[in-house]
Amino acid sequence: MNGTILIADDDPVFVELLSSRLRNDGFEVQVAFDSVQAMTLAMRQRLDAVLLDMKMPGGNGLDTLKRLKRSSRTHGIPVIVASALDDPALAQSVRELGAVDFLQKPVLYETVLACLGKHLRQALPAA
Amino acid sequence: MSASKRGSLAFRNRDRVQADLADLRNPILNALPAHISLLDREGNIIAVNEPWRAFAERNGYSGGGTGLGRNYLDICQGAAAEGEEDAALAGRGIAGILAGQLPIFKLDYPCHAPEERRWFRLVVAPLRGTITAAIVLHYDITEQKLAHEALDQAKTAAEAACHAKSEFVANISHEIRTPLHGLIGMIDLTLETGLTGEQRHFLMTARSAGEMLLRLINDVLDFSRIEAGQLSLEPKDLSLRATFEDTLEPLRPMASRKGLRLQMQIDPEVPDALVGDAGRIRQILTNVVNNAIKFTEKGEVSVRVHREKLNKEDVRLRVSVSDTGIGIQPDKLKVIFQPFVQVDGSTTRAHEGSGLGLTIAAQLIELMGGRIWAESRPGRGSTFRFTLRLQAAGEREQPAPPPPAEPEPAPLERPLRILLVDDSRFNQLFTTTLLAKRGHRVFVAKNGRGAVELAAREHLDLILMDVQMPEMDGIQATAAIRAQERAWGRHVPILAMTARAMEEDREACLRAGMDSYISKPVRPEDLMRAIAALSPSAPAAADGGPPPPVVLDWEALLAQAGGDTQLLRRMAKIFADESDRLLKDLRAAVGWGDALAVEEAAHALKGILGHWGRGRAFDRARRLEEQARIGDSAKSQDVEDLDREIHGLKKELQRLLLEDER
Repeated sequence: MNGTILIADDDPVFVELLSSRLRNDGFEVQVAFDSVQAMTLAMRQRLDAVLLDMKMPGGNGLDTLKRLKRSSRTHGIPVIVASALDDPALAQSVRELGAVDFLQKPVLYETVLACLGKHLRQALPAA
Repeated sequence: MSASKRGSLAFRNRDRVQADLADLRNPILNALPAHISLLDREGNIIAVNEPWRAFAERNGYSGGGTGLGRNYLDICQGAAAEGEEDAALAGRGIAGILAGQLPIFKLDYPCHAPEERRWFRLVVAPLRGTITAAIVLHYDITEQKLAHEALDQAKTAAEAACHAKSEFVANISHEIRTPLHGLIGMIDLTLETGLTGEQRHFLMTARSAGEMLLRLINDVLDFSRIEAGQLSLEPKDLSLRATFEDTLEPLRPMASRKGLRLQMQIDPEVPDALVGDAGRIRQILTNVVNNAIKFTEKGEVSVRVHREKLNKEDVRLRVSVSDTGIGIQPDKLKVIFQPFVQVDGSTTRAHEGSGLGLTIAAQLIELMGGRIWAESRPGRGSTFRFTLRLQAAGEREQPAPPPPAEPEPAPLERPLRILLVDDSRFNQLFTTTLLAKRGHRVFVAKNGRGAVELAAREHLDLILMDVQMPEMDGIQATAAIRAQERAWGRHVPILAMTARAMEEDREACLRAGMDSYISKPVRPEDLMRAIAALSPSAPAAADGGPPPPVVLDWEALLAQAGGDTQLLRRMAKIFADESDRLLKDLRAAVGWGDALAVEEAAHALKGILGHWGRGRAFDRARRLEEQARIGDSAKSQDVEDLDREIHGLKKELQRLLLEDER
């Protein structure tokens, strides 16, 4: 297994694509469709990375990011923010809040995979 | 300068370092519960206090020793992998201080030393001495962190519990409302048959008892929805006098049974044509007046309405409800607006009700930008006062006409073939009778499985679908029907009928592919309106020619799906369902002029459209989102244009998927 990834995103098409392909590539995938679910899952188990959307029901993504970074239980999980918001300042501000990377949606699966490879807690085996 | 050179420089300066430490009142530094070191301009550690020394001896630095004489920037660079990121940040911060670019630098980090599973705060500040350039403090913030964390976990747990609670309330409401729906519906049907006056009277009484129960459960639902911030107002034109009189009417029998006078005075200066949520105003007034009648044994209850302030748009009304009842002790005057409280503990049995009436009234008043308070003299009576903020209704002079007693049935162009899916025999009888009376042909299935079979066999114009059913529920059945239809390229409108009046259920229905939603108990006129809106005879919003064909890059899509057509198929299906749902949200949001909701729906649409390439539909969604963000109100034509593009995209996707199959 390559690691456990939490996808926190309310776009069901994105979730379907990513979870299918990541599972196919040997990852375990957890899915949260809102912020509360995301926090609950992150608190409950060991995750190797979180792919976090910025606009979800139940609180905005920035708050979720802050909370993930504030708790020692989740502080060390690399968080990759993926957003379709056209906000040039967003990439910078999520990095300042502790996200390891920012992906502008729409994003190719290969880009996500490469990004995970760069930041995952466990090193990926050579593809 | 190399690391070793920096180090040796520090050692050469050791004597001067010792002098500096003495200057800095070493004993005080040692007494502080912080690890302190002093750096020179190069970042070499030239002095450390006792706590630092003790910590370093317990844990050791990567290079051994207390770190004294080593370069702090090097230590940061050589940090263990686990603390690498924090160390790199610290290194940059210290460099920034040494270079005079930062006034102060702070960082909270988990300490990875084997014996010290603790959190520290690092503070670096400039300190300009003969050779000192910066002071570095580390102090323990584990307790703060733990407290934060405990709070966070408690918050997460509380939110999860709140989720569970809403779920529970929804379920209970279903359990109670379904049989009630059956009861009231059957009474209504019976009332339409030939009855003696006495029978009619009995049935009307039974009906009002049922309605009272329904109100109770609605109270509980309202309360939990307000608590969850899910309740929104629906302002419309209203006649203030009619609204108030209509509200008091059903309360009069209760007052006269107790021998109470129920009076109302509306100041002539109060305008009649206003804009507000009449349903919620009724609810507020009912709850407050109901409360007054409940706690008054003799005398009167009187309602007075004054105009408090009037500018061009805003009308502030001051309403007072006075009674000659038992009154309220002064210390209880505030408590009464809290949930589940009836002031005199001993009276709880004597006075029925959920105990939520005044709470809901207070919350609704607050939602409307007003406030409520009470004055009382125990034994003499109480006066509840509240303010309401409404809008004046434009130029119209005439009060809005009262709603017609018998709503005219929606114009019907042709009888429809309707499938009713419901496991309750009451509901089957009630709804089929209603529909048959209006000339429709009704098929009945008693669960989802039956519905899927019938939908495959019969040519239907519309499906009325209950949600909670044994064997296969409405959501599953809808999914199965939609799957069947995809093979045939049809779409029969499905109208959800559910007793669970919670927003989430509506969401779930629409997500499963249903087209619209009505809440049980179903009112005949609501049902007819919903059917008219969904039935195929409703005029299609078609204008202009067909949009130019959509171009999709099949190869690229297939590559994205890793060559997995099944995955692509699933994505296309989810996309189709989700875009239907979001378009509906978008339409509603545009209708309400709710820019925030428009932005959200357009954003979500843009998201799911992005998976198929940045085509015209994607651009339209993005433009809509952009406009809404800057507060431009969206036109419904924009939504229709987007709908057309999405429709084209869906068709093209379907075509490509079919082609691939062959």
